[in-house]
Parts: sequence; C-alpha cells; structure tokens
Amino acid sequence: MKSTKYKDPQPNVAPAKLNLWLFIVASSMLFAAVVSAFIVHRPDAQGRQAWTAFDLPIYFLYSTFIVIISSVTAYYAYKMAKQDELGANKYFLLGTLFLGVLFCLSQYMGWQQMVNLDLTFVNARPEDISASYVWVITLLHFVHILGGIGLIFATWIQAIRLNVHKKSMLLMSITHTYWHFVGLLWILLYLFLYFAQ
Amino acid sequence: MGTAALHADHHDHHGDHQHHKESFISKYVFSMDHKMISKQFLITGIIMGVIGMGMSMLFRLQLAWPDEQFGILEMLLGKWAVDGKLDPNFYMGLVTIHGTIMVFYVLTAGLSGTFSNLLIPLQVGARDMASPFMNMLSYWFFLASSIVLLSSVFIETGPASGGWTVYPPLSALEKAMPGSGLGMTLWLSAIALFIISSLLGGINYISTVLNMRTKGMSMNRMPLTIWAFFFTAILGVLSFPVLLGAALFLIFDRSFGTSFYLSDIYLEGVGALENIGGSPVLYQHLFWFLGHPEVYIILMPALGITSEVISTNARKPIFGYTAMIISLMGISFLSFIVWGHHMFITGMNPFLGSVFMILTLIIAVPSAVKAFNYLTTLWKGNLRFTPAMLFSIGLVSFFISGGLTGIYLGNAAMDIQLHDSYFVVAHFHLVMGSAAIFGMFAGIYHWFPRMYGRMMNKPLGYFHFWFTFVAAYLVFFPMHFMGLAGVPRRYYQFTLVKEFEVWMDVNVLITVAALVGGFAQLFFLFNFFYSIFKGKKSVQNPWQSNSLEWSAPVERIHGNWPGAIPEVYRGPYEYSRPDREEDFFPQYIADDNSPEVLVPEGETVVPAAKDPEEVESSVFFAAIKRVFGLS
Repeated sequence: MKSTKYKDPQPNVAPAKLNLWLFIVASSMLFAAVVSAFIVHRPDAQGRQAWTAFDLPIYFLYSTFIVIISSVTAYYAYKMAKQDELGANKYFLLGTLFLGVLFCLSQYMGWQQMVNLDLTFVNARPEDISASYVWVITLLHFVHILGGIGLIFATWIQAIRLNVHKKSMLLMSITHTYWHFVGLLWILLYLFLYFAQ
Repeated sequence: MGTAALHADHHDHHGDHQHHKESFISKYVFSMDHKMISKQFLITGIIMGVIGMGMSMLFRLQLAWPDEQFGILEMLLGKWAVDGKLDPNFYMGLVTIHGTIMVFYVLTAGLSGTFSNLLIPLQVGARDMASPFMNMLSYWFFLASSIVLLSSVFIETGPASGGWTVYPPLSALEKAMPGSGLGMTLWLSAIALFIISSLLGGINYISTVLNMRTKGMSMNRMPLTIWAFFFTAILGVLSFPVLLGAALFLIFDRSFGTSFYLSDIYLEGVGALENIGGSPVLYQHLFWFLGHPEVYIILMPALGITSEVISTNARKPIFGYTAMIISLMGISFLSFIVWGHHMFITGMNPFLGSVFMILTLIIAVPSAVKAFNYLTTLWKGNLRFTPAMLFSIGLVSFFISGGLTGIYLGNAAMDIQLHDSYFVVAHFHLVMGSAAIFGMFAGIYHWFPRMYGRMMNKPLGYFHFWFTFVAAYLVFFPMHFMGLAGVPRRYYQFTLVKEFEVWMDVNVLITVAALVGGFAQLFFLFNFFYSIFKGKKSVQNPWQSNSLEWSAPVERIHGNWPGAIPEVYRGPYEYSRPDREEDFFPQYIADDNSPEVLVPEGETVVPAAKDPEEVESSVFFAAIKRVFGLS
C-alpha cells in the first residue's frame, strides 16, 4: 500500500527545529541563573560585599568581533545552500569553522590573561569571587561554542557529500540558527560583564 | 528520522507489516516507541518507589522505637545498624535519599515520564513523539541517574545526608559529615544526569503538543491531561536549567575549591577555611527557583489525570474546562515568583517577605478553582467507582486538606514558628506526596488497559485504595499537631529531648500506620505485575471514554493507528449529551453513522469483542435512567 492513501497531517514546523528553539530557551535559563547569581552576589549600595572590579581581558573583545564575523559567514553559508550554490556553501562553512576555532583560541588567550593577573578560577582573596563568576560564565559559553563547532563540522561533512542543498536544508538551518544563538549569547554576556563589573 | 515526511513513510511501512518481527533489543531495550518508553519509565519509577518507601519504613521504625533492637535492620544494613540499632548518620542518609527518590525519581520522572509519554501522542493524535530518539535518550539518562543515586547507598561513607535540598555549607564540605563525601558527589552526578533526562523529555513534550496534533485537534479541544503535561513540561524546561546552575556551583565549590557558597567557615574549632567570599543563601535562591516550580511539576500531571478520570467516571463534562486551563496557567506563572516563601527565616528583608507571602497566598485562588471544579463535576454525576475514580477522589481530598495548611505556612509570621517542623512535613506529604501519588495510581488503573491490553483486578484495587487512603491520613495528620508543638523534622531520636518525649505514642501510631500503608502496596504490586501477564483481556474502550487514545487498536503497534490518524470533531468531555442515546460521544466520531475505528481501504481490522460485563452494565444504567425518567 502506498502512503498516498492516508497522508498523515504534516507538522507546521520541522520537529527538530522546534526542539532546537526549546533547547535555546532552556539554555538561556541556565545563563539567566548564573548571571542572576552574579547580580545577587555583587555588592549592594552599602558595599558590604568585597568585590574586585577588573577590566575584562582584551581578547574577550577580539572574540566578540570574531563571533560577529562568523555569524555573517554562517548566514552566507545558509543563503548559498538555499540558492543551490554548493561550492560557495562549502567555503562559507569552512570559513565559519575556522572562525569558530579562532574564537576558542581567543578565549584561551583571554583566560591566560586572567591567570596572569592572578584572577584564577579559585579565588585567592574573598573579593576575587567576581573573577570566579567570569570564569564560570565564559566556560559555560565555551561548552556551547564547542557544540556549535561540532554542528558546523557535521554540516560541512554533509556538504562535501552533497547532502546540503535547496531541498535538504534541515541540518544547515539548525546549524545556522544555533550558531547565531551562541554568537548573540556571547555578545550579550560580554556586554553584561563589561558593564556589570 | 530527520524530517517528518521520512517519518511518516517509516510508519506506513510498519502498518503494512504488522507481524514484522522486531528484535528483543530494539523492542524492549533501546525502544523508540513512546508506549514502550512510557512502560520503561513506569516500571523503573515503581521500583524506585518501592525502594524510597522501604527507606521511609526503616527510619519510621527508628522514630517509634528508638531503644529497641531490630535484628532485621542489622541483617539488611550491616554496619549501618550494629546490634539492630540504626546509625544516626545512616538515618540522615535514609531521610535524604527517601526525599530525593520520591520527589525526583518517582513523582517527576515516574509520573510525568510515564503519562506524558503514553498519552501525549495518543491523545493529540500523533504517530510518536517529535523526536523518538531524544525520547529514548531521556529514559536512558534517567536510568543511569537512578543507578548512580542507588549506588551511593552502598559506599563506605554512606549516601548524601544533608536533606534532599542539600544546603551548603553542610553539603559542600567533606568534613562536615560522612555523607558529604563521595555520597554527595554521587548525588550531584545523579541529579545532573536527571536534569539532562528531564530536559530531553520536556522539550519533546512541548514540541509534540504544539506541532504534531491531528486534524481538528485545536488547542481548545485537547484533554486536560495534555494541558497539564504541557504546562508541566514548560515549568521543567524553564526551571531545571537553574537547578543545573545551582548544582554546577556546588560541584565547583566541592571539587575545584571555589567559594560561591562558602565564607568564613570554622570547622572543629579550627580557624577559617580557605573558602572565602561566598554566600550560602545564594544556593537557596537558586535551588528554590527550581524547587517551587518542582512541586507543581509533581502535582500538575496528577491534577490533569484526575480531571480526565473524574469526568469519564462521573459521565459528565468536566465543570469549567476553560477555568481548569486558566487555573493551570495561573499556577504555572505564580510558581516562578514565590520561591522566597521557603526562605522567610534566612534573614530576608521583611518587605520582600511580605511580597512573597502575598504572591504565595494568591496561588490559593487557582487551586480553589480546581478543587471546586472537581467537586462540581462529581455533583449529581452517574458516578462509576472504578479504582481509578476512587484514587482521583482521594487526590481531591488530599489536595484540599494539604492545601489548606499551605495557607498557614505561606504566612511569613507563622512560618517563624512552623519552619522546619513536622507541620511542614505533614503539609507537603499530603498536598504533593499523597495527592500526586494518588494521581499516579489513578492514571495506572485507568490507562493500564491502554498500556498492556488487559484489565487490572478491581477488588484488589479497592483494597489497595482504602488501606492506602486511611493509612496516609493516619500517618500525616497527627504530624500537624507535632509541628504546632514545635517538634522539628529530621531529628534522629526524640527520647533524647525531654520536651518531645510526650509525642512517643503518636510516633508509634504513625509508624504502625506507615507499615500498614506500606504493606498495602503489595496489593498493588501483585495486581500490577500479575495483570500484565494474566489479567482479563481488555475491550477497545473499557471506560467508554471520549478521548482519542481509545480509538487505537488494542494490539499495540508502532505508529499507534494502522490506518490514517483519526480526525477530531469535538471537545473531549461530551458525556451524557441529551441528543445522544449513548452517554458518551468520542472525539473521533463524526456523526452516528461513521465507524468507530477508521480503517484504510484494503485492510481489515477485527472489531473489538464486546465485553458481556460492559454490555450488561450499560443495560443496567439504561434501566436506571428509565426508572428515573432521565432518558
């Protein structure tokens, strides 16, 4: 019997895509929790809590620029796949992958800078607890970036196998959405840490 | 299974070859069928429930007869009960693990995991979950988490023992108590795995409800079970990541040496520890931001199940369908902004306390709407007292009697006296413990025929209900009075405190009731496992219910319906419509002429045999109606 005889109602959105959006919501809640903890812990008007205010490593700013550029390349990778420009799609994917790795390196340099300032993950003085929060927030984001790099890599492999094109956009569009999410997340976290110090 | 189209093809293929053999591994172990996954959740939940309840019976023995020596304890626990007397540290461990198991493993995963998985695709009309693979992972993370948690009972230093809320600094410092060593590490690992499982499940439930409903199943035609599971899943997706954050900070403090929760600690008279600059109250904020929604994650599925069971067995439309949904929505929203009522005595600003107090008391409004609607649905209904119906009515009883004491506890001023006393224990065991477990039992008795194609034994169900119901009140009601007199919870031995010795008789009563109630569960366990294999074969729609799950064939197939997915023509609660001869009008029947099960062309489905008992009972009800001039 052919499936045309009884056609199941089709969902409005691809299930995987909706699941991704729900994951984004859940993961935003995790960051909301950590950022709220930071806000609650910060000194109040009376300044009862000792708290070190320090300039964020300059590499974190570089990371922000890298992530913005990578969002642009991810967008073009998506657009090219949609127009069946398979060659360009692959190059933009590879470019995004490269920028993703570059972002990781830049974060590593940033952490190195913090260690050099004696702002380690385990605080040496009570007031350095502020640095511990910076570490937790950046590390949690880093884990999300690693997931994104994995997705881009998987998409790139599929693109080489000619599985990414106009009629097969699911993986590409998931990668595209997720990468924008982690990018936007970093920009927001950077701005937060910059102004909240 | 990347796209929906592929998905549908896969199932149609299945429909063609119903006798196609699946391997044991793919059918029972790494199953991606939501019905099988729901059974996996249920049976794991039942096993965890037996363990959790068994632990409570052990520490109840200690509380009733602290000076007695029980040979059986030494036999069971070895060095934790030398000479048959329970070790104080292990007592704390038992209390902690009992709480953890019951709250997370039985009433979150066992309840929501079982019935969301079973009912969401069947009641909204979907072949399976949005992502069957994530669904499978959700179960396997849950099982791994259960194993890690249970393994902590068998280690040298004992399980985590700082109470199920694991407040630092007690839980953060290894030296604080034996249970804060490896046991606590295992507890945190187990909870981290549990959160992953819960998120995988929750994302799937929301996605399926929003995206996979069959034709005609608009949101306002969904059964209240689905609404309840939907809101439960939303609460889980929003609050479990926050618990993950809290647990991560605790893990960093314990294993990496950071100080998010720790500051100025003096231990064993020795100077301050190296951990400095943290705040233990921060943990309570993060924990209770999950913790309060968590109690509704536990309760709301039970409330949804009750709505469905009461309406079906009262043969009446549920009273106030929209009001039920709005009250669920109200409870869900409020649950996120009341966490401070767990922290009134942490030195919170009294003004903030009064804000939390008012918000907490407002929850009484949607809760009362629900209780009122249950009672008005029962009012003048053609009640059928099936075991599921009795358990649902039991839930309403616990929901009211336990909910009322919530109004006392929600008052910031009264909480100063009642905090951490047996009054709290009594309150939450009635309103979220007993009520939710009764909802779970109602669900099991009601949907057992859907899960296994067989009926559970009714008389055993009645025994189970009455023993459990009476025992639960005998156990938890006296605790209110103990709490009012200031008896604190989690104490090991009340004979050591002159003040509380007068309560020993009450403690004995509670323990005896707990033992009777505990052993009454054997009725259930026997009934459940016996009926899986030997129960009476079920008919297609044993409760003459309206919702979509009863249109699927008794023989369970992957993809749920052999032919097309049935369409839905009306709401789920159209019982006893005056224009209909029968007192129910299923959602999937267009009018009087359409066949009950929609069969594709060229396929034959053997019509379900009519159960003589059911026929008889409907004749009986028709006769009664005629006598009273109702028909």
